[in-house]
Amino acid sequence: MKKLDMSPTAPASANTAKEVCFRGCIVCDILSYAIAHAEKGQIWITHHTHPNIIAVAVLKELAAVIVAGGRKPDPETIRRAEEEEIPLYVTSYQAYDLAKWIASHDKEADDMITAAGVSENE
Amino acid sequence: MSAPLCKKEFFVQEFDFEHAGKAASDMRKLLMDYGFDQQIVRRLAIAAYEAEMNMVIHGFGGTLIMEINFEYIELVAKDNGPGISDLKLAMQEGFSTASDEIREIGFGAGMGLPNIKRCVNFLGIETKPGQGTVVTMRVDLGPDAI
Repeated sequence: MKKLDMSPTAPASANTAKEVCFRGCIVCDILSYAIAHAEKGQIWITHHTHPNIIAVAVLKELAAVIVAGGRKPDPETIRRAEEEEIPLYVTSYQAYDLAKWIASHDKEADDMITAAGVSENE
Repeated sequence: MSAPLCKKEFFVQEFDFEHAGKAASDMRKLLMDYGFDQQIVRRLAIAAYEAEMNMVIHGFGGTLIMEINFEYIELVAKDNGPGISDLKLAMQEGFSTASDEIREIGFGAGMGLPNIKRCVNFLGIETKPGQGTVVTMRVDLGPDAI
């Protein structure tokens, strides 16, 4: 697990930490896709703002949820995140830029891209 | 068959997206408190969540029943919905009858039943058009389950 400085985002509530321990990241807006493919400890970038994103984050034991593209989570979503102790952040960054920034702090992501590149060329 | 060691019922409201996922979440917490193996709890929680969402979206609400037995944990999702007219199609990843409004909030991708199937050791679906659906899911408990 690596520590990530969350400064390109803003915590959705006051008592959310400015750093998150994470391992990898998933970007998707289909909830069942997140349920099928997210892994424990990942950061989830989504555009949904409703409370169900927290239910999915709890279910998959995710490190944090970031609502991208300047969208604002519903008050109930923020309340649920506090209750379930899921770090929830907002950002005006687009999902791609945010994922790029997270990947730049994630050595395993580099290794994965390299590995994928190798297998494709073979 | 012997009586279950423990039986719990969770109620699921139709179109209640505010509380949707609560039954699965409560069930997950209960199983964690009982000290079941994390991987088993994870698989059951995913199956419960997907079954719960199906009842919220398609089934006019319903009941999720969890039974702990010696050899397996069983989840039964019972609804009073319209039933599934083509089960084979419903099991196909990507097929969904959900409305555009449902899809806009990230549901209805046609992944629910396939997700359940991947997580459980047994999946049984009884359904008749107009008479609701009963989804039975079982996860086997190995010797190290608790």
